Amino acid sequence: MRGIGRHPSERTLSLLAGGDLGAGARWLAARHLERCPQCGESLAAFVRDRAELRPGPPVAEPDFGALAHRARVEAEQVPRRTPLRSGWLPKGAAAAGLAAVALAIFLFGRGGNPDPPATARTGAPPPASRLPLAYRGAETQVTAGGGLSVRAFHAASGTLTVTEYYAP
Amino acid sequence: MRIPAGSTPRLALAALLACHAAPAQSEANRQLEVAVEVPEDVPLRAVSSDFSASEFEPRGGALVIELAGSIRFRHEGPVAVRAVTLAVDAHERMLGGRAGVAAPSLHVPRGEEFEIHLHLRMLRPLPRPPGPVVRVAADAVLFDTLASAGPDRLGSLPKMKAREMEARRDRAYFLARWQSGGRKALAEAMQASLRRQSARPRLDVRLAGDGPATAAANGTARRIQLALVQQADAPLVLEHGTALVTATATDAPRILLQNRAGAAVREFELGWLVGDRYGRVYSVGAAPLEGSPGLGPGERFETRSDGSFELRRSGDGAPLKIDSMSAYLRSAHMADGRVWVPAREALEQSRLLEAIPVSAEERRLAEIYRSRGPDALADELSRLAPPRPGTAPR
Repeated sequence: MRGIGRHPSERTLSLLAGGDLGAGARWLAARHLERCPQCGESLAAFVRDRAELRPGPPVAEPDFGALAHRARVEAEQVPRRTPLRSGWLPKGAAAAGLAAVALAIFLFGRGGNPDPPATARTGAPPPASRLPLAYRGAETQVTAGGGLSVRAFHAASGTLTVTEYYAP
Repeated sequence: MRIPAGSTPRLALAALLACHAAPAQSEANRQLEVAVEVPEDVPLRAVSSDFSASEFEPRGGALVIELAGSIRFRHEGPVAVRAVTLAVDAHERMLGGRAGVAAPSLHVPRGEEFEIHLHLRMLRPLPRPPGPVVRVAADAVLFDTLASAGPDRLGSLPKMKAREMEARRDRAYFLARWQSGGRKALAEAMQASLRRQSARPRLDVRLAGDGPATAAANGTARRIQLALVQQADAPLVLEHGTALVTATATDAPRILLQNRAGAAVREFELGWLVGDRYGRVYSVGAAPLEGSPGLGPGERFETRSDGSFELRRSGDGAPLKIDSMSAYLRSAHMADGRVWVPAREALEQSRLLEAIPVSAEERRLAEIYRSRGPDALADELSRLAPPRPGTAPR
């Protein structure tokens, strides 16, 4: 722009707002800003942004050792998957669709209910979907007494409980 | 609640409101619906309880109870607590009115507090009783010395002892890895355990009514023969087993077994597994037994139960098509007080280790490894290592 020279870049204005611009560049930018209200507004915006960011809490130093350990553990737990043959995918989708239709006919065609009311399942443990997130890996098993047991791990306390339902 | 003579309740704690807060009235009511009791001979004190997340909903002629909460106990006895079973009663004579919550793999020395979490669904007939709707009582406590306290109305002590023997076996296994190969060997053993836990297929088992449910369901019921896993040092030998199955359900298997030990076996537990046509093996749990069979040396016994079970894959809930079935001896309680559980090596060799749930202790140790690393795990294993002869029990 004739008369006021080239506009300073955004990087220059942001460094100026933070007080990190060198002396020569700062003098040149200041001369330009005296005659360019457009760049003055940009600089004011950078100053405002900087003021808003300042109250943020300091970022804690991450424990890289612990992170690396957890990453190794998680990586080891990922089951190795065998790639699906591409030709199987359409067949698998078709089979899944047929199975879904068959299941729907089976469940609703006979007036059944996939999730009967609790009164109809006396003694049944809560379904896994109803267990709180604090419990991980809940598993229902048969007991020697012919009842059911639910094994659940409470992640927060690191304790496992086994709930058994008894017949009267 | 009936408490045996000589063990009158020392503490009947109807869970109270927290005085520092002003909870809603409905939450206060939920708290007061649950009573916590500790019999006289149990060295635990109920410090606090919170059942404010529970729900009590009348449906038809019954009250559906979603019991959700926790109880904090303080151990006041001399010997460390290893396991606790709580009896939970909503109505003793109603199916769904009685349950037990076991907390195995505890390590609580004198003076320390610990928490047991409960989350279960129960039923009781209406009208509601005048007092609390649910009573939770400390039913059995197992100590480090394998001595016990409590009325054990649920008969859970044999299982608690077996789980404690499994815990000692698994701690010894991981401690040996640490002692022989250090940090690297312990980490490898734990990684293998975590992989097994992650890869093991799981079931969602439901009661399908009294059998033979399979025959009533349709005409496709078939009888299959069980593959029986034998263990060289087991006191019982499994001789023959069959079960009636359909595409979606199975009756409890019938298994013939014989005591080949020189001593009587008071109680035992059989592990039960099924396989699908893709070769995946699922743990169903324990093969149901009727009664509490005691077996003298050389005696035979055939398990039988009227139970029938519907098996679904955990996750997608799809019915499991049973292709094969197997069983193994999971624990045996000898009349002289000894408790037999399979050796770790035997479980590895028979590949049972890949199908059955890891012990509660291995699950706990794995969590220590996951969250705090192998050094913290090694510290824990060393802390709980058996005491040298002549030292006091922990």
